Amino acid sequence: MDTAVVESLRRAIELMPDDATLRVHLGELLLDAGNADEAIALAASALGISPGHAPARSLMTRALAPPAAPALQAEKILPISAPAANATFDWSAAEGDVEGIAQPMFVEGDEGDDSEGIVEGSRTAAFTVENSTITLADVGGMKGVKDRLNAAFLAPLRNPELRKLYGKSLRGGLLMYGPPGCGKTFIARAVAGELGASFLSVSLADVLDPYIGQSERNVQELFRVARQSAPCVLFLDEIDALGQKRSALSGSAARGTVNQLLTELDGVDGSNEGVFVLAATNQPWDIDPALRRPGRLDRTVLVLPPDAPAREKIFSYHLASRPVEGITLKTLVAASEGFSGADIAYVCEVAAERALTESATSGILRLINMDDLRGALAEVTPSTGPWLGSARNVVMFGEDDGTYAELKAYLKKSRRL
Amino acid sequence: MALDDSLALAEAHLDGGRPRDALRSISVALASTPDDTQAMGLFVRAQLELENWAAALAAAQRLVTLAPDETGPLILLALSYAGTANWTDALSAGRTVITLDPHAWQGFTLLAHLQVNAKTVTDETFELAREAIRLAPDLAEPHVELGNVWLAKRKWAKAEDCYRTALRIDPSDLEARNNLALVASRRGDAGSSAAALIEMLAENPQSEVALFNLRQVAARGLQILHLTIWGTAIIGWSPLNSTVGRLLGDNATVIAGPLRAILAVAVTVAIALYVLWVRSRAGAQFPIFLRSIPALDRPLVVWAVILVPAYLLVVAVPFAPIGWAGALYGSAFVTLAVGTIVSHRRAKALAGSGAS
Repeated sequence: MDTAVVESLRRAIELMPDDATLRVHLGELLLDAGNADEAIALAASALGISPGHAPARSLMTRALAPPAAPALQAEKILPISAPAANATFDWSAAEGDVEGIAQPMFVEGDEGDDSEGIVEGSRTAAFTVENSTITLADVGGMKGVKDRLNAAFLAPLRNPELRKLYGKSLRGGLLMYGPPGCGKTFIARAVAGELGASFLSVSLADVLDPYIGQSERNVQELFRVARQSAPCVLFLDEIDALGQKRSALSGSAARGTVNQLLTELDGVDGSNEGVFVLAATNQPWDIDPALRRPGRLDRTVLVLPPDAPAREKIFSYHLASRPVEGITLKTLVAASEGFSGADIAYVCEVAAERALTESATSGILRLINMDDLRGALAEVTPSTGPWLGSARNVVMFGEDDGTYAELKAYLKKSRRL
Repeated sequence: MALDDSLALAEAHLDGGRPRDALRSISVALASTPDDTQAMGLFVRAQLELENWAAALAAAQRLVTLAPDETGPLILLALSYAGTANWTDALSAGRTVITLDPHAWQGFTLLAHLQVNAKTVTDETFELAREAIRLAPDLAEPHVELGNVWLAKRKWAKAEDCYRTALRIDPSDLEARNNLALVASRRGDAGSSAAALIEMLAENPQSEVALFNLRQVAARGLQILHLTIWGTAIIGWSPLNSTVGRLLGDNATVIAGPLRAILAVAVTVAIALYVLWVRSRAGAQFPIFLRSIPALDRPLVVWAVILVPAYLLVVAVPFAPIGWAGALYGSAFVTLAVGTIVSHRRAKALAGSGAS
């Protein structure tokens, strides 16, 4: 393990404490070096920052797994001597031991054949398909969002006869948009769990590749994996980065990625039967309009900051594993209007820090109480403000074609418009 | 994540206008390879987009020491100096870029850009911008820069030509669109300017520049109305002035009534024609323009509200009893003075917050 790299990462984490990816990266290095305890702590803190962070969950799973038995037994070192006359050595078994460790020196065959082997200069992205264990019942509150998901997505899927009767098409996907940290990724997992489908979550980092043409191949591979794993919920996180307006990408290699995404959503290279595409974004206005046309991501759901029942559940979840006393959830819920799920998690974190600091200073362990939480609520500003400011501009200046009707209604109701 | 992947991701985020996301990827790369010039360059770009000038400058200075013979780091250094308003060093870095690579259009565009922003536009600035176009006639940026030079010299027609050429090459060029709207505004065409800015905001709702400029367009329109009412009030009041009264003699009382009636009609017609003209130039965006102002700029609304009674006082004079003219005009002057104070305070508040 390169200690310089580890130290650099630790410094980076100090500078950017909210970056879950950095913590996971350090955790992976520490786990590879055998320091599972610290890797677990880092994975836990990354999940605290971003509960749906797939790499953090993967790290936690690996770190908690019992150490594997050593693959190789220590060989007894034999003294160097002339071999016995009748000694036999199983060369086939020895070849089998080293098979796959090193490629043969010379290979034959077509260099362009990438069906099985690795073609020099190209890489194949690896996409992890998960099985989601959460369902919409695990999503607190947000009845409006659940009803919308049911109407646009789940009910037609579960009732094929009714779907045929009403002529409702299953083509196309669903776009969830809203302020950051309001549970879009969590809801996507819940939908996958609700359908009993596999869950494949992808973001720009999983697709983008510095080699020309490789990003497009990654998109193609992604859909191939999704089709193979059907029924599968394919979740495109940060779709505004993956599918940005091509007019804003003139000259950029990312245009090809957007074009490939459009092709795959149309199911040109393979049927998307059984592949349910969900996408999430904080900036729907940056998405290429071609992605929003009928047959692609033509249905939208606005995921707003959690309502009162949802906030109660989120507070309850984050405080359940902490030493608390005298907590009045209703008071916290009333004082956290407009807070996202991530903001509420941060409030609990700040309150825990206050109690921890005081305990450390006084030497007497004390429980987290309402004063800590009230103080944290006063300290933390909701992160949804800037998003709502941009959203207001979209509604005010954009074409009033109904695309943001839900958003307009919310802004009017909350007197922001 | 491999270094190449981190940097590719960071570049994609920067191209997409997400500098904070880019910084996350870059920090991973810099943690493992702190002297990687590509990573450092992306870091400086991200800091420049976030307007963290000090951080950008420190990183750019380090980058130049790592790659002293490359123009890219020098360009970033020049922009960082410009961000901290150190124009001497910025211009010096810009000249070094041209010296290192006299056949690249970027150096010429950069130096012209710096001279415009440093408000030192000379014949050399024009030469630099034209040379950039000569080297890269099919790119939008050099044409935009020449337009900016003309804009700085208040040559609206020539600036407009340059921006239109840039938009023919690249219809999505934001700077060309914004500055074309600015030219329309400076020429007094508030309607066209507002329409262009509203279209920009529809596509880029986070554009602070377009939002700022839209508010300024509305302010200019109000200023015209304000000055019109002021002028009307002063002319209407003038027969009451002792000096003018002495000059006009007995004619003062004779012409005062008809004069004020004509002024009342004229100011109403003038305001109506102006509003109709703005509406015709703004087209379908006019209702959006009107609706957006109260939500965006409350001091403007206060100012507009103040102008209404001022206008009513001025047009009421011909219908008021004799002897009331002085009081009515006096009230109008007071109201208009309050409006002037509101507009100045608003301008002062905005002065440090935005740039066109």
